[in-house]
Amino acid sequence: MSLREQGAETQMNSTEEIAKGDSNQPSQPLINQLPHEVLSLIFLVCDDPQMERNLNLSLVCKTWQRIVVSEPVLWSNITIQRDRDITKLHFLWHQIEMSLVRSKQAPLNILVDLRDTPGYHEYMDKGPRNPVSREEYDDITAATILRLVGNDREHMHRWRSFELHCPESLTRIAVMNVWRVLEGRYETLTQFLISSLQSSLPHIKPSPVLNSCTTEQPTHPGEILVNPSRLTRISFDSYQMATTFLRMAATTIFSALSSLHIWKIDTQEISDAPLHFPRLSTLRLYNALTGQVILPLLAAPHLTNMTFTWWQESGIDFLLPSIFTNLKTLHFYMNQSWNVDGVYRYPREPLRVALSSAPLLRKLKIVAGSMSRENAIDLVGELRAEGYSLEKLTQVTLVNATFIDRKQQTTVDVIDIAVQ
Amino acid sequence: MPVLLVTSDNEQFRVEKVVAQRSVLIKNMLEDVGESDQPIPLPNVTAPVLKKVLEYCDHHQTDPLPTGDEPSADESRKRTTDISEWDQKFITVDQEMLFEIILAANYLDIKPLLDVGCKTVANMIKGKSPEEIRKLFNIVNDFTPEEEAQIKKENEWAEDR
Repeated sequence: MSLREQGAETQMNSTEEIAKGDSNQPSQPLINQLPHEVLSLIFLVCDDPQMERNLNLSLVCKTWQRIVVSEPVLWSNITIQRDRDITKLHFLWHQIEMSLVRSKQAPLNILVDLRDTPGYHEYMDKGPRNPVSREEYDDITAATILRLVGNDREHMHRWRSFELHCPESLTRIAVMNVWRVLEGRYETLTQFLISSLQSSLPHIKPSPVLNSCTTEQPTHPGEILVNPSRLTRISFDSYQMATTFLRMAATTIFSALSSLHIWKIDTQEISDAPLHFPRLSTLRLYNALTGQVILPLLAAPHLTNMTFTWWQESGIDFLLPSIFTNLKTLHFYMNQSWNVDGVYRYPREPLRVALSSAPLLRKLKIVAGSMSRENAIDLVGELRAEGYSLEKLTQVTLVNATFIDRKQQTTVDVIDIAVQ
Repeated sequence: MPVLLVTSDNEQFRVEKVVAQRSVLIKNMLEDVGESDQPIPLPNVTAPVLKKVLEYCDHHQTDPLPTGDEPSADESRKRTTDISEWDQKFITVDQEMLFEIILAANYLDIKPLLDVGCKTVANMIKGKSPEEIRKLFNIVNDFTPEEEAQIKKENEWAEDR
């Protein structure tokens, strides 16, 4: 076929596409002369919240409405936002059902934020139009998840990312119900996160957890059924789940995992096999004993961000310099009561190991109370005098968290520590 | 070796192959016919539009070509409507030219340019009410009041927050 013929053929296809959009109205506005797949693309990159965007676009004209309703990807980000009025619970569920139908077989990205869910009395005081029962309300989280999964679990295979933010008041039964609903094989899942606010743990920010029940585990936690070559981010609070995961990681390469958060593990259940995470860049270990067991086994050549907690009696032998080689940010916590004068002698040694092994380190964050401003400046100065240039280290941040009216107030003191 | 492009209004553009090949359509055509000095007809693109498109291709001639492996716009949870400074300046044109560029990018299969065009229109739409969107693009509201009410009713949760 000659170039001229190829060009003419492409022209014909393209003209046909435009004509499709043109057939009902002879004088379409310029924008509606674009092929429908291009209009779909435009709608897709319009980053207003999905449901508001879809409603607004649908109301513009019939052509736009047809495109919006028939484009599955426009319905594939199911987001229940934090500020949703919970009195309109039925509307939320309707929104989920409509998105599930219209997204057809498109992979789903799900974000459910129920952190501001009020207690049942408060809910009833708001005068909802179609109030749900007490039982239904108590189980709102699981009931919402159940809708996303589908009665016959028919949507589960489409889940690609899932993020759930739970209210603090979530009951143990509700947690177990969520877990029960979630059990399954998440074949397309690449991101998984359940988080709840952990107000009783002052030195930790709201912690991402897989099972949001921190002290009581589900009776039957099931297995972690994830695709090791696709999972990119996982967080655990349940020590049972974290232990199961690490046992899997000893024999399976989680080749896509870039972010791993672990609260606690059952140290007796972890073998000595190395843990290979070829793409891991962020590791957060909130418990000293967990770090002591995991860090010596870790083979993560691309680790750049790490949080770890140190316990004064654990010694420093487990801190292999290789862990810190590519580190750019380090958050260091102490596992003991802080705001105690003179505790600086405890973190000094592990910090010396970390800093002297991390030539690329840019930022260091430490809980205030375990060391003072002067301690930080002295330590970095001491290491530089010993020949560790730490040339990229520009900031040390001391974090001070206090509780006022049960709410965490955090203040930070940023120390400029750049090489002069 | 330069390539000769012929527009729908019969203007000829002689451009470097590396620039012309930013268009996947042209690249495929050249690969199909091998080395040839035949002019390439582009019957869907007028001269002013092609001139503009070639300006884009010339500026971006050293950018890596899209491989098809990267996540498409629909796969990215956090959509970005960020456009680089040069692209923003380039795409600051009247609506007619903007849509012509988008059509040409779609026809010539120049994905990064199509993205810039789509993001520009998306930025114009973002945060606007249906009425504002209609006004912006000169679109006639072809819904009856009953049809409009029905759509709103179906989506009550989204509107009545």
